Amino acid sequence: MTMIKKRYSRLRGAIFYCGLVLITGILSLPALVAISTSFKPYSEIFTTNPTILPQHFTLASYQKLLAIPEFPVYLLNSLIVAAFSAAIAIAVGVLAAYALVFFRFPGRRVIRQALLTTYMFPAITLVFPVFFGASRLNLLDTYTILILTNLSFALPIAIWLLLGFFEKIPVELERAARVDGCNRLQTVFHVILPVMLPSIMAIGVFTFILGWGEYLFALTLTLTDAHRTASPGMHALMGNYRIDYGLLTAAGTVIVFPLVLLFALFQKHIVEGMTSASHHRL
Amino acid sequence: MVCETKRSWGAILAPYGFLAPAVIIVFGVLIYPLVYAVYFSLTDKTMLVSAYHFVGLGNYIELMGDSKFWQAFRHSIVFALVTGGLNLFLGFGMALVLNRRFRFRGVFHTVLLLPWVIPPIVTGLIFRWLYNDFYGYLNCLLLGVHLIEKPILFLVDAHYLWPSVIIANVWVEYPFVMLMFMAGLQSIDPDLYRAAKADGAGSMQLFFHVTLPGLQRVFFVNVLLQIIFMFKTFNLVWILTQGGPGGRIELLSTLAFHYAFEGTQTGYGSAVASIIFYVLLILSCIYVVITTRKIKER
Repeated sequence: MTMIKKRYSRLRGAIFYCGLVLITGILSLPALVAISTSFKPYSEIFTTNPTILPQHFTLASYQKLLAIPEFPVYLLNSLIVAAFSAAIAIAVGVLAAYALVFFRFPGRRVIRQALLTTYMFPAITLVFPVFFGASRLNLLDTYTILILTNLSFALPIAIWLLLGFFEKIPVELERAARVDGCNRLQTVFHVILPVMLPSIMAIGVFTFILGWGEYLFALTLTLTDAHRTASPGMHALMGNYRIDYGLLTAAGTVIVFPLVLLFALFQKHIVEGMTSASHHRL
Repeated sequence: MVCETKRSWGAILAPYGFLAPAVIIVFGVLIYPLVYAVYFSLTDKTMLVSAYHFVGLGNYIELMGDSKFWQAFRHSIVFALVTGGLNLFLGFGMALVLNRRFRFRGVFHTVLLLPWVIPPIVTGLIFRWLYNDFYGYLNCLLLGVHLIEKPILFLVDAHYLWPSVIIANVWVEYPFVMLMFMAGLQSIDPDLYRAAKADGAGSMQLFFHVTLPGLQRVFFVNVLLQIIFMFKTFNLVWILTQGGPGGRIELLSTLAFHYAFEGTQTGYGSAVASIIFYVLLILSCIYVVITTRKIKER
């Protein structure tokens, strides 16, 4: 009897596993196809009988990509914009989240709710006034305006996630630091930051990922290749090399690769942050 | 708290000092532009001429008679409900699967989450290539098994345009829902399962009497969040179709972009964009009211 039961459960496990592998396969197929296209020779890309994996592995598309002088500039611009906006979001967000968790003061609930609901503001509504404001302040096509506009989503997300982490810090720890003679700022630097460093870095990585590929603001607020980030850069490539899918998928792979790497490294903490953040209330 | 009866001005003002940078940035990059967008919507501002006039509700009145606007409004509602619904369905399903214990669970988890970090422009590229009429995998596959006789123009053909765009959107959006549901599943007290099992409940009963009730709040939050996110969506629809031929998949967001940037009617386009904001504002208010009411009940 137990044998049958055991066998039955093993069968169920196998079916479950096959189903899971199938679904995961289908869901990762679009990305797989794009990556494999980037390693294919021309003749294997433009065929009506394509294979999933390249028959002849080649880096020709990547060599062609390297010959485009603007492309590294796009990546560098994305790096600058995403790194600065993530750093500012973290610095400002840590102070704000600390105040919202460890201080008791009038207006706390209202400020907290207001900060969090701004996450729902539609970017498309902000983009026209930002465009005219930037042109009046001579900020069109600068890093400054891209960093600022990235903060419009990076900061609310950072605060939202930080609140989730900070609420897990025992109040006693924070109290003890202050009894030991730390003032509030010292408490943040000497107690909160060391304890929360991996989590805070994960939030920084997450906002970096969002900033790296931000599309709407980068598309409308950049005018020249000098300040185009990866998204509008890719947009330009898709216009100039309309049908060269080997080159385009190579560019896409290069743009996504650092994000996948960062995400894989920090996944545990990012997921943990989303988990604790989704439990706390507005 | 008791010992803090005598508080200096510094201590009273300290929290506001900590919050000031965040509040200033939020005002500068969110509130101020938003107020300006609503103001623009009350003017006849254009891209090309710097002078403009206040026209009151003129733009909104004109919109009421604009068939393109009503079409886009209908499209946005349908898009939000269908895409949001599919995100919830797939996200919840995959969360249930990943909530079980099995070998290489972490690997599957990472692979399934990855679309989430792909920037919209790259997702657009991936699906444009997949849907390509001559060399795309999908057409080649369908032709290969003789399901179709000639290639389908997935991003042009009226029958396939909507499903094609929605599938691309679901592909990148469902991992977030999955993550939220996994968080919800983990927060259900394991004792509840143990107690129910001790009472002889089967796996179906566990699902309907422990899992689903335990996820009530997560469900509610995610349904609203999905409607909000999908109603304001712009990037992928724009990259894949720019509203589609003849505006077949024109959403409010793409219509606003067409009017304000390409048609240079900033005032009129801002009115469309502002309407997106009004709808979201109402939804956000419902969200806040109901979540805070739930807290008081507990």
